[in-house]
Amino acid sequence: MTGRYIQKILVCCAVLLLACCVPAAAGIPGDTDGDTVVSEKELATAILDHLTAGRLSADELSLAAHNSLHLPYGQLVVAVAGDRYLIPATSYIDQKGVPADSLIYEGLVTKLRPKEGGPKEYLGWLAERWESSDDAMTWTFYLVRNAAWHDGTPFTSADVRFTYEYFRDHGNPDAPGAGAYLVNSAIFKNVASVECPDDYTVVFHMKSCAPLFPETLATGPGIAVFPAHIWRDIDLPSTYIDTAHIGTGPFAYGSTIPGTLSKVTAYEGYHGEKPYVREVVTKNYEDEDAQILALRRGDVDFISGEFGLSPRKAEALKDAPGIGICRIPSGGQAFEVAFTSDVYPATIPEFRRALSHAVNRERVCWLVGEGARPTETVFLLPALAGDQVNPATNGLFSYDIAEAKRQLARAGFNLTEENGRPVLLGPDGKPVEITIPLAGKASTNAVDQKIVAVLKEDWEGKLGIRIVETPQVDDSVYLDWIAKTAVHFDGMPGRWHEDIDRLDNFQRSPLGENYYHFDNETFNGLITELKSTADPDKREEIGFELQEILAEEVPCIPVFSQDAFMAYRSDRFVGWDAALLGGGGNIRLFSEIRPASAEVGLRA
Amino acid sequence: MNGIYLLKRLITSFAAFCIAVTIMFALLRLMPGDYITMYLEAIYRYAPPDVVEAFNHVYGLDRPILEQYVIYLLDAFRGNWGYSFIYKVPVLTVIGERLVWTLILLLPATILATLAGIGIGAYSGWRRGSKTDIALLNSMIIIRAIPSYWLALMILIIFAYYLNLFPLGGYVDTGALTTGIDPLDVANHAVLPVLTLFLFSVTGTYYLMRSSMLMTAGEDYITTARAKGLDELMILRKHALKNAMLPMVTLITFECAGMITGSIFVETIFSWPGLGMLTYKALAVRDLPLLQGILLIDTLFVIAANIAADLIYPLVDPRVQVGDDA
Amino acid sequence: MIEVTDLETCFSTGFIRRRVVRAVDGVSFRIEEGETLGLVGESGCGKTTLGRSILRLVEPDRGRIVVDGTDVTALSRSELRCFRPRMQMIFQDAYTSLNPRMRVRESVAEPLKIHRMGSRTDIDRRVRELIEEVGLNEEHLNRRPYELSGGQNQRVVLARVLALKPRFLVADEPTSALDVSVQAQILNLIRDLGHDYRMTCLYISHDLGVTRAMSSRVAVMLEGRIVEIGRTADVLDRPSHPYTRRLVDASLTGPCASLERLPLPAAPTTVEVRSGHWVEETV
Ligand SMILES: Nc1ncnc2c1ncn2[C@@H]1O[C@H](COP(=O)(O)OP(=O)(O)OP(=O)(O)O)[C@@H](O)[C@H]1O
Ligand SMILES: [Mg+2]
Repeated sequence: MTGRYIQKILVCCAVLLLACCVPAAAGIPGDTDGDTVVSEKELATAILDHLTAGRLSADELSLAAHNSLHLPYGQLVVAVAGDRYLIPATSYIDQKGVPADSLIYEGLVTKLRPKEGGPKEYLGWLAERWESSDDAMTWTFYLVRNAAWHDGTPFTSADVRFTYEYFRDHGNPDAPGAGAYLVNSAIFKNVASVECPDDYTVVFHMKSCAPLFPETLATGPGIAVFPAHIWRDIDLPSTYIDTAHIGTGPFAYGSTIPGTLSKVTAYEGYHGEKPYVREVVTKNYEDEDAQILALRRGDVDFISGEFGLSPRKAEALKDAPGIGICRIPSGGQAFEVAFTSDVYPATIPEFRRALSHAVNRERVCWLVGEGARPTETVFLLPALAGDQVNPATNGLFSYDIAEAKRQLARAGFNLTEENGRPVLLGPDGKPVEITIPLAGKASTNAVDQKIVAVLKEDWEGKLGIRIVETPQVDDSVYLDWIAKTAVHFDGMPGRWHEDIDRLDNFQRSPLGENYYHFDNETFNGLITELKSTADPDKREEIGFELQEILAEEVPCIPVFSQDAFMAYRSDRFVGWDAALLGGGGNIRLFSEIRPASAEVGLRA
Repeated sequence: MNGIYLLKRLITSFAAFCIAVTIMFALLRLMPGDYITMYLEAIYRYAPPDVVEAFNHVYGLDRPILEQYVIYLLDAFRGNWGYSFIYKVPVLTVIGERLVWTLILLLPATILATLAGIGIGAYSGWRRGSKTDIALLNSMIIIRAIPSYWLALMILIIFAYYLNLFPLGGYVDTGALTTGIDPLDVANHAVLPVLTLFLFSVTGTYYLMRSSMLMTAGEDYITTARAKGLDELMILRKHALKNAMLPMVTLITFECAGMITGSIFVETIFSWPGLGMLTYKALAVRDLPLLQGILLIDTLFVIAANIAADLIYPLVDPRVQVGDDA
Repeated sequence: MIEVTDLETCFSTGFIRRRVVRAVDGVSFRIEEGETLGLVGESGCGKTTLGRSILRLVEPDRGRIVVDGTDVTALSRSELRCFRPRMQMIFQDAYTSLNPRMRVRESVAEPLKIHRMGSRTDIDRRVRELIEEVGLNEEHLNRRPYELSGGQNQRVVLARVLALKPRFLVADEPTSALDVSVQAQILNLIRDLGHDYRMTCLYISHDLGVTRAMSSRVAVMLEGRIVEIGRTADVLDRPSHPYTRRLVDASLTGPCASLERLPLPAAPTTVEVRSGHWVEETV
């Protein structure tokens, strides 16, 4: 009798404990099975709940109903850092290009993040499907059929052709009028002509083989399609102040308060999946700490930024109530120790190769902290480049000081001692001394100084290479410094490590020196070949070969890539992680997330 | 006599303006790095030379430097200050917009700081050595010693975040997107930045006023006034205050001129779109036309403040007579 | 009649290490009604401080001051303010003792106004009288201090002092900033007016010649103390204290070579060498 009584109490306690420990998982009111969709049945239950038990408030019921009927609901407030992310601050047509952030304008396609080890992926926006000829000299895009501009004008292939022609016609620096020239006109340089066989098909004829044309359209900065019926009459586009912002995107321009706020609203006539959010307000916080405070307080629901929050600050946010953090692998910058291949001692390939075993990645990552992952490849990042990484070149630059010493000795370097400290004598008999300028992209979060600290331990302490100076130089003269020092650091954003095409970074191109002053004839030739190769298998083969050359020649030693941390209000909206990890930018993210709290409905 | 003086003053000011403008022009061209290369390198890693060339050609940056200088001077006087590279709108429009917001913060902050600085500085100097004086002096030293960035951030964290009394930044609430800008809402947003700016500048005014008051309080005419049997308040009002205020005229005019350069820290922490941040951004990306415009406006303000100080001084200090030498 | 007993005034200076400067150190003397006492001594010996202390422009730390039978040291703030007009002071530099912003007319009229001595027209008339009395004319009334010469300024100061008809005047080297001829004019003026107004006067100077001319008795001050006091002729012609002797010698021969510090006793006693001529004993 008493036994059962105690058992009962214990069970109650356990249930209570569980109830306390399990965080009240944010969910959409009425969505009982947690699939973020309120089905008709669930809605019926919710209505009954509301009427009888009063468990759901009227506002929550309204949210459930909007979800169930797929009607836009509520207001999302996004924090950005800088007024250039607000809507009319800068002309979209010339500065921002493709609308990864714009929400209003769309391009033909957008790039997605590949699955690890998987192929490249694109997502169609205004193009449903696309294909290229075998020689990649013509690209055909089949457009969506039901798209209309925000003012109701139907979208057709003529708009795409107009966009091309408009950029082409405004690429003449001698044209009269200060605003006639568009910097972005260079993007279509490789297009010979554009044809529209019908209203929903566009054919681009290229001047030369363009296997990555969709990529050109999608990124860096990419091109959005502009409405012919509006821009046709504008002669000076780069000084024209657009106040209507007519696009085809999931959100239409609402209003702006200069320098601080702008708003877009869900577009009823959108051709794709309509967004669940009715309004997206962008609010400018210039300071990262202010952004974080705003997120904590609930003033904003998401902090938008190219590389996310700084890792330490994201870490501190992790346990904050109602806040979720999405960690995007290699979403930030990737850092390398780079050589200037025509400055002694980096002129000696064996020297570079030897040092590739003298970079203690684990230790750098430990110093950098949260979110740093050592790079095991020769340049491309597996999380971004997918199947383009040559597996045979992985792990070649392992940390092994003994191996480094052996290779240095073989290359004619001589490790001696002086006053109890190791000194490396070069083949010329003089001590090896290097200078490392600090500046540029690698100085984010003082990463460069951390790398220097680790290099000093190994290079100075064990290999006898004296690091004489690490001057802090201005970004604007960094290139000049690179040219006269053997070693520097680089910290390019991930997108420079995501495609074999980006290996042209190491080509001595007709444009002149690359950052590494690297000049390998086979490599240069292979890049040229790659640029005119359309066949995917052939391209992969060339790509692998290129990476083998890099492994052999070591123009740079990859150190680590930084994960990006994005912070959002998980108690107000659901569905963040999938969209953030999948890529495609804010336009996709804000179209996919769903309101989960009636609070956001009351704001609007 | 005064007319001649004014004319002379205007001519020298004009000369100063021309010299400043020339120096600015030279300094801006000497700055390493340029807008288009930096912009393109951020996107493509390498700046395609043909695009750089085209851009420089469009904006006349490829012409001989002397020609650029002459065009710049002519344009400066014609009021044709060009378009900002980043904002793509006329430079004057951008500056005008930002100037309004800068002044909304700095006018009240400067006025309050000046009045308070003069008031408590005068009190402190008059009651030199008293408990209140020591307390005031020490708190001013402490405020002065706090790094401005940190002070601004602490004010934001305490008053906006923890006490939840004020918004966390910007100048209007999101509601303004539908209802338009409400002056009361702006005032609510301005409280913390104004408070911060006030704290930044009150110490300077306080120090100067206190030491000026110390000097004045030691003058014999103050002792005489006391010997005559005037009560303290009367001495302070009739004899001390006005004389101690003289050095403040210069300070105030220069603070007014300094106002338009804005305050980068406060504007960043409180996300207030003022001139300070604009200058910083323009400098960071080398937006030449915008920089030239901002510097021109700054020069004009400083020169105007100088003339104003010259004209105000004889009004407040009978010893100074303008144009006597003419 | 002025009577000062055991007056002591200290200044504490220094922010971290406080040091106390005893500027006036146990001074006692009397001045009879209408009499002028000269006060001489080297720079920094505490003459000005003594003068100010008597008028309570500096608060003395100890001692008693009786002016015309009123114990000044015992007066409350407001009582003191009412008593103030009866004792006035003239400073070394006339220019700094006039508010640079005020015209002569305002400066002279101000004391009359605050003590409500007559109607507007009365005050106006009185100001004109005064200004003529000190040897200036109406045209000067609308000027400001920087538009007048040093001597003229000193006259304005005098007019301002006289406006209050003080019973006691402390003149702190009023002529040291002026050249000899102007100095003589001002001195005569002070003496004559002092006589007319029957003022008791403490005349501070480091010029023995001037002191001789101005005062009937003289006190010699050294490091905050009065080391010798007596009739002018007695003290200056037959100095008893070594310091006085040295002062007199210096005034005759010009600045003398050595002025090493005299050793002073810790607990001084004074002796009367002649009737009314007191000297501090030396070690
Ligand atoms: N406000 C003050 N604070 C501190 N010390 C003071 C102050 N005023 C005077 N003293 C000191 O008191 C001493 C006496 O100064 P005082 O001005 O009385 O000298 P003095 O005899 O009038 O000299 P002089 O002939 O140069 O006018 C000096 O040592 C001076 O440094
Ligand atoms: Mg003195």
